[in-house]
Amino acid sequence: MFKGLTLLGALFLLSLLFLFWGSPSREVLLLIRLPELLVSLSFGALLSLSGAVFQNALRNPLAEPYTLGIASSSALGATLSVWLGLRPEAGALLFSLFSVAILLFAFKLFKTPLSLLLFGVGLSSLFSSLILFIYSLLPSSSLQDALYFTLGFITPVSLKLSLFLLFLSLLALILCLRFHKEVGLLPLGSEIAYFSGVEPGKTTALLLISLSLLLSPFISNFGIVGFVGIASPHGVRLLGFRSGYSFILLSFAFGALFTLLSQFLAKNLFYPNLFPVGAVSALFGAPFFLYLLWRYSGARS
Amino acid sequence: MLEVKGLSFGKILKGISFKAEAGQVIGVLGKNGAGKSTLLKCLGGFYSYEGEVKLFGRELSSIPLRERVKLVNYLPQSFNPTFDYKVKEFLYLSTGVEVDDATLSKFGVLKLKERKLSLLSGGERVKVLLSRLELISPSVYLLDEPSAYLDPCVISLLTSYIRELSEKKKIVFIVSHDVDFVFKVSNLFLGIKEGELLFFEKRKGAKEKLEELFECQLENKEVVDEEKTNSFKPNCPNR
Repeated sequence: MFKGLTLLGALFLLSLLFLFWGSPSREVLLLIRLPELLVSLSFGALLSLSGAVFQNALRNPLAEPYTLGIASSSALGATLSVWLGLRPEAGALLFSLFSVAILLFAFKLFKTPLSLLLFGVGLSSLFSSLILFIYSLLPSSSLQDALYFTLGFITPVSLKLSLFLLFLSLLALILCLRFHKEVGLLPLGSEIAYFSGVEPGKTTALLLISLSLLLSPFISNFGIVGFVGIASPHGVRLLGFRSGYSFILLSFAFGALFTLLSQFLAKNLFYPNLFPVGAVSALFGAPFFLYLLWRYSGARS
Repeated sequence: MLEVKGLSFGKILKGISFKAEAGQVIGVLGKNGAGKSTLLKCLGGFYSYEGEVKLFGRELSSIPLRERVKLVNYLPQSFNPTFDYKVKEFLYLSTGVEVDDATLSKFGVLKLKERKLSLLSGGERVKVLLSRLELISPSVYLLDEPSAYLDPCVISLLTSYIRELSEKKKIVFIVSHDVDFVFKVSNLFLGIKEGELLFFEKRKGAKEKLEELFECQLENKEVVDEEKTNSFKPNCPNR
C-alpha cells in the first residue's frame, strides 16, 4: 500500500514538473504540454500492461510487444498504409492482428522461452528494415524520420487525439483488472491454470489480441518504444507485487511513470535537441533487460 | 458415480470403459507411454476426449470449467511456475479459497507459507500441491506421479492422506511407476496397455496380470500387505 502510494505520488509530481518546466505560456500548456503528458502516460501505461500480460500468458519473463515483434509489425503496417495513401491506423491494426497470429503459432512451436524471443528478434529486424526501405520510397520523408519512427518519437498531437488514446489505455486497464485472476494463473503453466478454472489457450489469445489492437493506434502515431514493457512490470514484481489487482494497477502506473520520465529527459536533457523517447527508455531499460536475461537464464539451467 | 464409456483420445487411448464408485482408490498402471497420464488429463477434461465421461450422471465436458474444477482436480507431474510466487500466494491464486493455517500444518507447509515456490524441494512441492487439493476438496482426485522422488516422510504423509480421502468417500486416481506404492495405497487397479484397458480389477486379479501388462518377468510378485506398511511410520520432524 505504501509503495503504491509512493509510486502514485512520484507520478503526480513528475506530471507537474513535466507540465510546468520552464514556466510555459497558457497556450503551450494546454495545446502542447497537456496532450503530450496524456500521450506519454497512456502509451507507457499500456506498454507496461501489455508487457505484464505477455510475460505471464506466454510464461516468458522477456516477452513484450517490442521483443516479440508485434510493435514492429504494427509499425510496418502503419508505414505501408502511408505509402499506399491510407490511414496509418488501419494498417497498424491489421498487421498487429497478423503478428499476434504468428506469435501464437510460434508459442506452440517453440518449446523454450529463449527461442520464442529469438523468433521475435528475427521478426523485428525484418520488419524494421522493411520500414526503412519503405520510408526511403516516401517522397516527403527522410531516413531520420524513419529512424525516429523505429525508435519511438512522441510528436505533438491534438488534445482530442490524446484524450482518445488515454481512453484506449483505460480500456486496457479495465480489461486486465477484469482478467486479473487469469493473468495471475497463466504463469503457473497450462495444467495448473486449467485446473484452477482458466482455459489457457483461449484466455491467452483473447488478452494478446485485445492488447495488441489497443496498442496499434499508439504505434501508428509514435512508432516503436522498447523496453518499457520489460522494465516496468519487473520493477513492480521486484517491489513485491506479482498478482491480483495490485500487480495490474501498479504495472499501469509504473509504465506511465517510466515513459513520462523518458519523454521528459528526451526533451530536456540536450535541449534544444530532441531525442526519440524510445532511445531514452532503452538507455534505462536495456541494461535491466540484460539483468533479467542473466537472472532467468541462470535460474532455469 | 464416475462412469467412463468408450473413452478415446487421438491414437493414445482406445475405447476405455470402467465405472468408479465413491471411496475407491484406483491405481493406474502401465508401461511408459501407455497413456496413463493422458487418461488422467482426459478424466479432468484437460484434453478433449471422445466418448463419455459421466460424473454424477452429468457429461464432464458439459459442466462449466469453474464448476468442474471443484468436482475433479489434478496434481500435475511437473510444475514450473515462471514467476516466483510465494506458497501462500500460489495457494490463494490457484484455489480462490482463503488459505487457513490448519490445512497448511496438516501437510507440514505452514512454515513454508512465505517461501518462494522455486526454492521448494520436490517433496515440499508435492506437499504444497496436496494442500491445494485439500483446499479445493473435489470429489475426484487425479494424482499424476505424486510419489516420484519423494523421501519416506512425504510418502507416508501421502499414503495416510489417500486413505483419509477414501474414508471421506472421494474417488482417487493414482498414476505411478512405483508398483509397490500403488499396491500399498489402492484398492482397485486399472491397467493400460498400448492405450487399451487391460484390466480393471481388485488386488488379486490385478497382481496376476502384472507381467502381461509390463511384458516382463517381475522378480518380486509378493505385494506388501496393509499391516506391514502401517507399522512403518517414520517420525518426521517437519510434520
